[in-house]
Amino acid sequence: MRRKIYILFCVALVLNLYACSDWLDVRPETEQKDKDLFSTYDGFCDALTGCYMSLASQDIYGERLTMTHIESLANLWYMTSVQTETNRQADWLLKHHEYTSIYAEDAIEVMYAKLFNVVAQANMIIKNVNENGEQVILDPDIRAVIQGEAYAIRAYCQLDILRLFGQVPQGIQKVELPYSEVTSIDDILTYYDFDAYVEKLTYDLEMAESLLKDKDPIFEYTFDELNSGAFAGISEFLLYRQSRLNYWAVKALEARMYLYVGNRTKAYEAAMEVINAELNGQAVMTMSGVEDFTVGYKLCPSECLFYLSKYNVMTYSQSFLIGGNTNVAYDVRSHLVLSSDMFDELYEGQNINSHNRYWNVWNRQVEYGGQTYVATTKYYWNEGNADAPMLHYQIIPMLRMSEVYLIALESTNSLEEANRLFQTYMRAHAVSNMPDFSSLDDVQSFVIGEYRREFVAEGQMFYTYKRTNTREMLWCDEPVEEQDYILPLPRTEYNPN
Amino acid sequence: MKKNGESKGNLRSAQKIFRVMKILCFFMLAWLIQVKAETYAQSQLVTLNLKNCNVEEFLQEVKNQTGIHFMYRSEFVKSMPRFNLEVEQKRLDEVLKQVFEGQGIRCRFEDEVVILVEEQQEAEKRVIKGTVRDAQGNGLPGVTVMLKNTTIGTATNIDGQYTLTLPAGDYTLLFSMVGMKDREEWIGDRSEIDVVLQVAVAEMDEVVVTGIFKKAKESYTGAVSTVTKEDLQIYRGQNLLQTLKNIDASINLAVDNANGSNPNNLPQINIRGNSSLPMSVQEYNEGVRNDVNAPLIIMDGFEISLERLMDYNDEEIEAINILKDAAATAIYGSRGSNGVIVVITKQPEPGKLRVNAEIGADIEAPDLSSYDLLNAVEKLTLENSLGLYHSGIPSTDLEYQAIYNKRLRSVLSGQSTDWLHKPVHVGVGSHYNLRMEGGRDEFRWSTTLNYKNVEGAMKNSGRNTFNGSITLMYSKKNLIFRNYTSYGVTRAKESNYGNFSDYVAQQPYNSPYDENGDITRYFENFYGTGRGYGEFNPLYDASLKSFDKNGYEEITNNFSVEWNILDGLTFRGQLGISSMNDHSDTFLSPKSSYFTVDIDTAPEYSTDDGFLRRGSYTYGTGETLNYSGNTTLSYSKVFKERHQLYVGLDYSIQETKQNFYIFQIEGFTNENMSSIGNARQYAKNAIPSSSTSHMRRLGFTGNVNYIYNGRYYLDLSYRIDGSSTFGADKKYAPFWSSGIGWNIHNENFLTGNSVLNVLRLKASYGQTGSQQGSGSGATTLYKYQTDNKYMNWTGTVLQEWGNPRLTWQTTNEFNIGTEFGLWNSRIRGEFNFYAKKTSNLLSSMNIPLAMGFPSYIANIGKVKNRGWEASFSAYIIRDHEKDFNWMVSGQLVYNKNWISKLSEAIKKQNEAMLQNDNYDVANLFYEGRPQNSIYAVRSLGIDPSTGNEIFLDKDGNETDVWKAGDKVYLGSSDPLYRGNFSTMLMWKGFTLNLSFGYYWGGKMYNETLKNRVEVTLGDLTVSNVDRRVYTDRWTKPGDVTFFKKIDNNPTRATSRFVMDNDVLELQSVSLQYKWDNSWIQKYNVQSITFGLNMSDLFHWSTVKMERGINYPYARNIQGSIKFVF
Repeated sequence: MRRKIYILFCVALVLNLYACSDWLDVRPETEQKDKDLFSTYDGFCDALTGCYMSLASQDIYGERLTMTHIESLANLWYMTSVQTETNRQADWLLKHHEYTSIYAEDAIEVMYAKLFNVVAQANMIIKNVNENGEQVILDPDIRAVIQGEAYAIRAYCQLDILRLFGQVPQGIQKVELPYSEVTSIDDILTYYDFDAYVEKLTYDLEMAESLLKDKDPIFEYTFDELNSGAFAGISEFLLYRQSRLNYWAVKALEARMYLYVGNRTKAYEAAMEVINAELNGQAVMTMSGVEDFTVGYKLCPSECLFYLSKYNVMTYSQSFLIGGNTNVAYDVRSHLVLSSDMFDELYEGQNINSHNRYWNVWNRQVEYGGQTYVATTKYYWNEGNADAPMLHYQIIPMLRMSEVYLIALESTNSLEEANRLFQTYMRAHAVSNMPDFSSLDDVQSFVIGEYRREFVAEGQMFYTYKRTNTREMLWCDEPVEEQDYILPLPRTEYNPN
Repeated sequence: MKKNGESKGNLRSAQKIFRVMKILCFFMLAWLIQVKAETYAQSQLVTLNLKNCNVEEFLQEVKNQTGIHFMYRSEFVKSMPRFNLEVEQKRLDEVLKQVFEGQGIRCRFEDEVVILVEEQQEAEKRVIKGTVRDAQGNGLPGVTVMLKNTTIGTATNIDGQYTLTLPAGDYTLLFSMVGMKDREEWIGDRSEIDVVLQVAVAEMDEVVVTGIFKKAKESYTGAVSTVTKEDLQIYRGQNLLQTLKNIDASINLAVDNANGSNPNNLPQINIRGNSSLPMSVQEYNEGVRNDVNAPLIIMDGFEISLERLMDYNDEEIEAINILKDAAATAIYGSRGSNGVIVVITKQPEPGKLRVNAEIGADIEAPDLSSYDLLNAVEKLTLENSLGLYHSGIPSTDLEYQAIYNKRLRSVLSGQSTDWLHKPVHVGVGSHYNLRMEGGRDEFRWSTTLNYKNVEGAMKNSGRNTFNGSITLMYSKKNLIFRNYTSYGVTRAKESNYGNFSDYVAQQPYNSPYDENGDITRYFENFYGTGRGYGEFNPLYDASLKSFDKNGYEEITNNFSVEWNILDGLTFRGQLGISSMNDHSDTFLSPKSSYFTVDIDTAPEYSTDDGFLRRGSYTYGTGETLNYSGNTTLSYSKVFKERHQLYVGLDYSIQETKQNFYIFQIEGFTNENMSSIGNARQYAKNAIPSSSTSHMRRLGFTGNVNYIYNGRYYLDLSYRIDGSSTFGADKKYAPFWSSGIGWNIHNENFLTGNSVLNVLRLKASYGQTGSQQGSGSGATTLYKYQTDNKYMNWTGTVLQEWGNPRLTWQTTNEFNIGTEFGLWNSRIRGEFNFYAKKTSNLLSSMNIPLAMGFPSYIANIGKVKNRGWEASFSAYIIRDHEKDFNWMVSGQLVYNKNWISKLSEAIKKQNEAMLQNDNYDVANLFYEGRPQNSIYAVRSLGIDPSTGNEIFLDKDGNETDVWKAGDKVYLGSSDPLYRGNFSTMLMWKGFTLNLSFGYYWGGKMYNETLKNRVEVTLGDLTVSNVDRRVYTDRWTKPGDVTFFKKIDNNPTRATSRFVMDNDVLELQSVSLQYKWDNSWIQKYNVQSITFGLNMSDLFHWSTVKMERGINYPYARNIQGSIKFVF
């Protein structure tokens, strides 16, 4: 009898050994828990790649923050003056700076949500490198690069949150915005006023810079060298530095940020650092000219300090940008184009005879109802004779040398230097015989117009208008108020403080 | 002598098997029965061709062929008449049986000698005797002692002694006496059997099997209803789930008008109302399956899927218990809140070999009575009268008129196609069952085979299921081992005719065949072929070799050991493993309209490259592995005669791994070569997809039951559950229930009362949970973006924030009930009232977007269900002498469901949907409203002067503009009352049962009116319509009609189409006849049962609408013959 109970007890005990919580800790294989992901080096790499993939989402830089909505905010696309049932509702409303209608609200909400989604992903990487990076990523250099890029990604998105939703730097109205460092639902979101927000941005950029400094392979190899999958010198994950926020991209981002917040000195210093950067006696990066346009690269791949890789960009962008399709009639319901008048105005006063952008990135054969329209062909290529499309066509420029030159031009205190930079700049555009500036004010007005020309469908013009707090936008019938530059936060947002 | 007896037994059982075989052969699958090693003589083969011979000549011939000697008394052999015999290579024992059958002569094989003996002579040798006593050792007089399944029997004398003469065969004795529990004893070789009968305390032996514990019904506080195997026979429907619904009204099968009687459609079921909310309004409206309310299904202690239950062989089932309230389901903890269906399989019965065989035919007859479409003449007249063949442009007008005239000519010459009947037929399927069992008390076995082939009402649709199982039981002293192995195969095939609605929509003036009798590919456009392809001919696609089929194979092995350690103390250990493979194959012929005619897709497949891509195959394959184990310890004891205690403890673990992969390939040049290997390539731009899940859980359950003097009782249950699907901080959760009861009939003042036999009151309260629909949400997850790339890398993206505090949905349920039985249970009834509150509902919780995601899964939201269930049954006639019984029974169930709390996220989704004018949302969620509600804009009817509809906006102002924002709540789509009633007549071997089902108190949005009556002009050009378009629509000012004028404005959700949905249906009719007289028993058949079951025969509804949109409804008729050997 006693023996029987004893046996029974043993059986129960054995079964109870299963009863630990670890046994309950299982997941299907297609999903991965955060702590499992960040327990391997590959996991960190994949999470970082995931951040870039999210950046390239059509919700943000894949479309809305480069080609459509952001350019509509800057009134760059032709649209009928009356809102109709059939035109692109969100774009029409954003063009007229009417942010309270449902279509505009939805569009703004999508962009806002995705930017913060990327920030959250970057936050996870930053946090996990701090927590267990040392055990998992054994190479300290790679560890620093991964974390540095994550900081840079956060800064990139948060800067655009500021540029979209924040106050006008020279304006009166004050806006507080969240700067996200959340990594779980228990983290608290903090809102900052303009100065504090800029401080957060500066901190992140400096962190990125200090982590990447000397660790980034770009200090050892050229961008071109690293643009080859066959390059055997370093870990595969450190190749293709143009597609990642490398050290020089961070510097350029810093220049962009300082110029935006009105700190010309720092902007100038950062921009010049990029321009003057050298590796083995060669400039790290120069502007695109003949070497790109003669072979049909319209997105200036050789001057991109940072671009996003997007393999299907042509497929989807054709439906609204038309691209190089010559047998498509302009359709108000879907297409974003310039009218021929707008196009002429865009290049007014420019020497267009040999201007490589003017001649290479436009499709002038879009017609409808006897009118001619002009579509951009930046994201279009001929699949038949494309050389290495991944490196030259399937990209979305995020930071280009042209912008760095424009920042330097705008922020230098020396007219002489401005003219020197200007000549270099125009040479890259294959434009000669441009007269020198006679004053720094002339430089300013050139730069504003040049942003409009150079970065069509790359989403920089709205921010240029905003940081200069201008009342007049080209092709905008009504004056633009300070209020119009500040996109309202989605209705879901509230400041918990 | 003993040796002789044994060989005799062998001979008999062998003979019997062969006779059974003879009868079974003509319809059964080949089935080998292994008999014990036989002696040499009887298996010898002989070939004879004798004309008009006598027995002696015959025996001589056999002796010549085999060398076997025969011993017999010549006088009784001589009396046999002469006979003819022609056999070829037949076993000797069979030949002998054939010759001596019915002659009162039996053959006994003794080595090389066969002895012929007189049958009676031998039977006299078997006499069995013994004494029947009660527990105190006193002899019991008047106990009926019967040979089971025969009419042979006797009764005990004054001292409790009995003597019984046995006919030849293997029998079980059945002892029965009023007030005592029945007892069965297998005779075997014994000649003396003494038994002790236990007193049957009123229904004390009735046991509720909960799947974990076995509890006495007398002291059970949970709400449970039991379905017996007889019920399953009598209420039989298309599948087991239908059958269950026919029996118990508290099982609610959602009416699925789209899928009708599709045999492959898995119905959605719930018990006592919906208690879970879907995660998002959008998903709910898009018809994502509402599986969250499905009950847990347990078979012999192991969980099985709803689909498996649907395909289960009902002949294997002894009983099904439906556990409804918290007191009953708390022992299932986090899985219990949607109710539990407990399936108990048949145990092998000891005794001689018993064979049950059934053969039946299943007929599915389409029921198209709800369709009322226009014929060709009417349709053309309607089109013309509406001016569809006129145009303002003279040249076009001429063109249209030409088309009209052409159609008119064809119609007048008699062209009118009855499209409705093209894709349907009367499906004739069949089913076969074989069950064999036997063995002795120590070792018993049973085996079942079942094949069922349902041919659906749509041509070529069907479902084949095969089930086989073997159960072995071995008992030794106080140990019982049981092993159950089953194998199930299901093959489902969807009709190659596609959707039924495609045929309903066809224009009746179009002919599916051209003048040569060949099938046309497509019809001309309404305005002629000059304007591109028209509608394609669905019959053309049906003539192709496309297919869509799926299936699974499941193998299950359940092992259990039961150990009676001490009197009252029992230990049970169980281990179950099941493995399932499922697969799906969908092939679209390269000639399909999808590639060649369809305006949306054909252009892509008409390019140089596209041509080669025609023909596609989607292959899915998956597997599920599940194992579970549990140990149970139970103790029951009676103290001092009046305190009865039961304590049960159970510990269980389970792990389930599931994965399913889908691949698409394309480019088949020849539709006959549909093997995957003949594909040209993987589908362009497609990636393999997969779904996997991996889940573990464990649980500890305790139950205490105390009864005082058979009168007052208390029932307590507790369970701790752990599961991998819940948050890191909440891996374990407790569940419990408590109940009390009072057996009033055991009180002194009622004992011996001749009227009131059973009266019981019980009340319970408890908390259970629901795990379903909660695969994720607890942890922060990343997902690989395999359909995307970034340079040469693929990344992983954050999916959602995990909520580490996520926990089970919990349901608190209160139940109070009473049961009564009058005049010896001639009238019985039960009433239960319940209130059920589900809280911690899993729902989306909104957070600021700056957190990175719009929401996370949290426990918010509450749903309440309140209702009652009443059931009643009475024998109007119960006449044992004439063997005539008439019983009526009925059930009425009331359930009211409403949402008592909702998340802000869901509220916001509602608002967003109302804002979107284009989204004609069917359902919205609001606090205080039922979960399944109908929302539409209130209508004042049709303005007789204009033919337009007049609406009321949200504030009650008249308007003629329809706006989604003006939708208001118009009622629940769930009926308030549901029930059934049935009447059963039993006379001698006949049983006739009619069962009706009904429900009322709910609303329905009549889609037919929208899709088929209030159509637009545009609809008319592409679709046939209901007759009411012809007769009931507004045509000129002054018409007072229900339907608006015909124009191009589609009708949006309007209160006009919201109707009371009151339904009465004849859900099943069954007629059975059991034939068990001595005539057939002479042929060793114990009984033959003829059965005819018809289900879904008639449907009366207050809503006139088309039933069965994508698949028509069908009347199901099953005829069967069942043999017991």
